[in-house]
Amino acid sequence: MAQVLTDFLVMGALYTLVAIGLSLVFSVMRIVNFAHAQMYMLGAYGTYLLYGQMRWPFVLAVPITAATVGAFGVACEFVIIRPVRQDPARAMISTLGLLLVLGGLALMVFGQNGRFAPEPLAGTVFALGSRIDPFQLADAGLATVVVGLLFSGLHFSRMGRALRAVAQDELGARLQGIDVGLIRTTGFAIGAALAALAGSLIMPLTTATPDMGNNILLDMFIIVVIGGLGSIWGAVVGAFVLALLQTVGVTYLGQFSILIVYLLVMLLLLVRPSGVLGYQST
Amino acid sequence: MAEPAEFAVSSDSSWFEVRNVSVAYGRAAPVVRDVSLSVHPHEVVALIGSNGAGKTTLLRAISGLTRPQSGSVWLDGTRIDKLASHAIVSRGVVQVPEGRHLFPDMTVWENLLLGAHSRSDSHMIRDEAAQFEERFPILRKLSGRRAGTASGGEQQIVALVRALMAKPRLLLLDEPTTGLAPQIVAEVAKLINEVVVGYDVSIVLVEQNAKMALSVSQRGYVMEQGRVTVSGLSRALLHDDRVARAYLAVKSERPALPHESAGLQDRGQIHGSGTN
Repeated sequence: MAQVLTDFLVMGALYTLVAIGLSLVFSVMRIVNFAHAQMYMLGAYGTYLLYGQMRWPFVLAVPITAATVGAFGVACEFVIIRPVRQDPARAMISTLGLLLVLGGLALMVFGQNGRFAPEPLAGTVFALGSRIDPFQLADAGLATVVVGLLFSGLHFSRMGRALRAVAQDELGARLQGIDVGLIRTTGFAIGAALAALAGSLIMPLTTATPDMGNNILLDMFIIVVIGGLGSIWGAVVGAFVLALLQTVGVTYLGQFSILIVYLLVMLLLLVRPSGVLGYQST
Repeated sequence: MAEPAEFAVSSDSSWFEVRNVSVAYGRAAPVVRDVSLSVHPHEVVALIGSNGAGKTTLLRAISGLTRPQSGSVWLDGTRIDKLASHAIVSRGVVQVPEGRHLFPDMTVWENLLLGAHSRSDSHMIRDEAAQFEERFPILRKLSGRRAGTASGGEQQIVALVRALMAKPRLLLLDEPTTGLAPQIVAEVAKLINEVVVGYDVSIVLVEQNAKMALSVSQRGYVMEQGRVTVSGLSRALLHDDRVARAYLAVKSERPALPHESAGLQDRGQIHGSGTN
């Protein structure tokens, strides 16, 4: 029981990071970034290299990986999206291309086999009468802290307000003297870094594979369909609903729970296409 | 088309100047054709004309949202028409666009802070926003509310104060009274006068409500089909036959559009000539 609960917490927290990143990029750029899923994969491989191979401390490997992928996101935004930004459809196809290219590159560099790294926190903690993996708890805690920091940054910093301004009214933002291009790049970088952070944090719990990005792609979209694209709280709600059905649901209802996920998605698309808390175009 | 008529416009060197600006969208025919206008310090200049005359496009070009095809824009001896829109704002040319474009899901307070985004003296900003709230009690009432929930008139005041938070030298107001009830139109007009005196700014006021615009401004320009056709002192324009016939006439050539009726209907004598 306790193990299922920690699985749920970790999965929910990490899904939240990925989904908030996707939502943030969508909010400021008005495009769905398919390559977002590969930022998650890059995060896992980055941590595999720094922590698993080079034996850096985990707490150092994770932020450096996330920052590097964030910087890589800036490069991608400049080279791949900016030239075609005028046409959202082309921009989205570009990100789809990036998804395929990065997946292919990972396959070439790391091969098909999964890459392992040991968990940083050894041992077990006893709680609620059962064994709990302390690293999983630390993972969930860290992700929660990052989401909290992001939330307060968006609300109480000048840059955060500018990001939200661009998301809500681009013309209005331009006329307040906000450099919209800079804000877009910043948003893209933060989004990429958040996905990479999720990949980094989950790496010791799983194996890094070239198709882990593709595997989370569907989950990512299920989350934003449930919660709504462009809303932070929507991303949190969607992430934990999906995590609940994939952990607690599967344990107690079996694979039927996965069917519930798709039924829920279908139902939401029918009755509330913008998601529970989503951006509604006006 | 009428010849440009001049009514004793002073000819000293201009502080803000639009010189022979033409603007076109894509390969279509220009929407603004060879327009020149000037603004002096502490002056309110009205820009009137019917829907589609090119007024909003001209403001977009001044704000750097659309690049002029030809011509130039000058502020205080510096050419600004090649600058990015955020650089134009930080030089003190600030636009309140038609429809206000507040950030609807942010509080009124946050909207005010965003108005000061271009400024470097960020430690002053909160104090100044608080001062504005003291000066305009309606803002204090609205402060913590989402801007999107405020009424049209309230939003117009928020938008104007948000622009003032940028410490502008030149304010570009695009249709500030469209869709507002007559008594609120009068309030906005009063506010425009206060602002010029109290905050050391000049104003370009774009309006379809020609009578209001000409009564709060010192000079005016009339735009028709992308060109300035008449310009001069607002007092004179108010009594100019052509202007009166086209923009201050009693009988309307077309029924008022729904968004105009709230502001204009009760005044009864103002309409656009409806070219587009």
